[in-house]
Amino acid sequence: MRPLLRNVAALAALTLVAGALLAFFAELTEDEVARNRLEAETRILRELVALGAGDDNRPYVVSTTGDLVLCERDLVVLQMVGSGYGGGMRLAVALDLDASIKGVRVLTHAETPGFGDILNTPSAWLDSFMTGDVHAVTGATITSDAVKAAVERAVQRVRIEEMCPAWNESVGDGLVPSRRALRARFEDAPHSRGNDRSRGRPARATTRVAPGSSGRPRALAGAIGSSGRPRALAGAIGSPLRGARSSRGFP
Amino acid sequence: MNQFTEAAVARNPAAVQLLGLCPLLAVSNTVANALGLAVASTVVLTGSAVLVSAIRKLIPEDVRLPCFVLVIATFTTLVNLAMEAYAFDLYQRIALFVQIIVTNCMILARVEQVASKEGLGRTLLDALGTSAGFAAAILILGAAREAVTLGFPLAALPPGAFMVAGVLLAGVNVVSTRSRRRTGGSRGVQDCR
Repeated sequence: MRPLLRNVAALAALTLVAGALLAFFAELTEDEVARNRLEAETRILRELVALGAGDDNRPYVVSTTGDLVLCERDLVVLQMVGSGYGGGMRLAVALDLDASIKGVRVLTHAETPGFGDILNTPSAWLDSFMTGDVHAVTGATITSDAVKAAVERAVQRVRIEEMCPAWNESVGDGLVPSRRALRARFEDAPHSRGNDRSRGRPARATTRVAPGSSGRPRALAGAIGSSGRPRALAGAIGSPLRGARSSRGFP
Repeated sequence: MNQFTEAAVARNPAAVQLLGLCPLLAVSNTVANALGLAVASTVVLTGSAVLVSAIRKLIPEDVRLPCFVLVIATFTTLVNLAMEAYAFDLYQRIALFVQIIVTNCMILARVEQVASKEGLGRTLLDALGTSAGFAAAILILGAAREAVTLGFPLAALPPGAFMVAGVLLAGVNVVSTRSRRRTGGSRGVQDCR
């Protein structure tokens, strides 16, 4: 055989064998790897939810596909997608009912591996996005911008009434800490416990949480429906006890 | 001196040849991480060397380096996948350094110098010896850094890796210089890197 042909044949044969071996092994470990990643993300989200009020430690399973919205312990946890230096990154941003940022976590990313120190918890750098006083990290400008943009979008887009429909229905259940905490926020407001407990009394709700009336941040004002009444909160306050435990689980 | 001890001691990849320093310095912050990388390197080096030795007569001289790199990359990816599936915590901490085992010249050097020329027996002994030498070096450095960190926190950080490794290497040099003077030996195998 001519040398050139021999070289090509040897390399091609070796490449084929190596490729087949890798494909076989990748298939073999696929399920296990997926399970590990899911567990890791669940752990991150559990940490995040633990920042909220109450002591509800129910285990829950997190799906990595689709949009993630968790409503737990007075926190709304949103999954945001950012575009980092190495490609897409998925973040989880926890907001409380005032739409203030309670925590930021990175679920997956493809950034330069050396930046694991700032992207993996515990990370003071990620925590600094809560206050906005973010220190620059050399070489991570695009990463920082991506995280910042994702957090900003989370604050702007949070719609508590749409994202946490279970909250609208389950207020009044004194057994559930987060529900109790939610109600307590409005108990000192006028007319908070009127005779009529049916949902959606526009006039009353408006007096309670009209935009700007209590110095509420813009993000929550954005949660108020087009009719000018805060649907989520109006529903939350007025609705009767209805299947609290079963309706509030993570979908 | 047989193949194993020569590879592990006289030609220790880390302490004598100063090969594979990137993972040595980066992953020696704790003993657990060091052990993980030592095991991964051992599997890749031994697997690649034995396989190359077995098929060495089929590999054309002209394309031997691409072939070696292909074999090493395959073993590295296998180890990486296995770690991601069965040792995920460790994987999350040292995955980057497992992946760059591919570029570790310690491994390519053993494959090129020994496995592509020698039979299975000598290749296996050499690979295991080199692996043991690397494992000993990274574990000793890891243990030293973890111990020094208790009183000197910088030791756990990247600059500390250079400092502790430098002190340890100085110690190795003192000992080896003295023993050479005593036996009147030459600089020996140190030059055949």
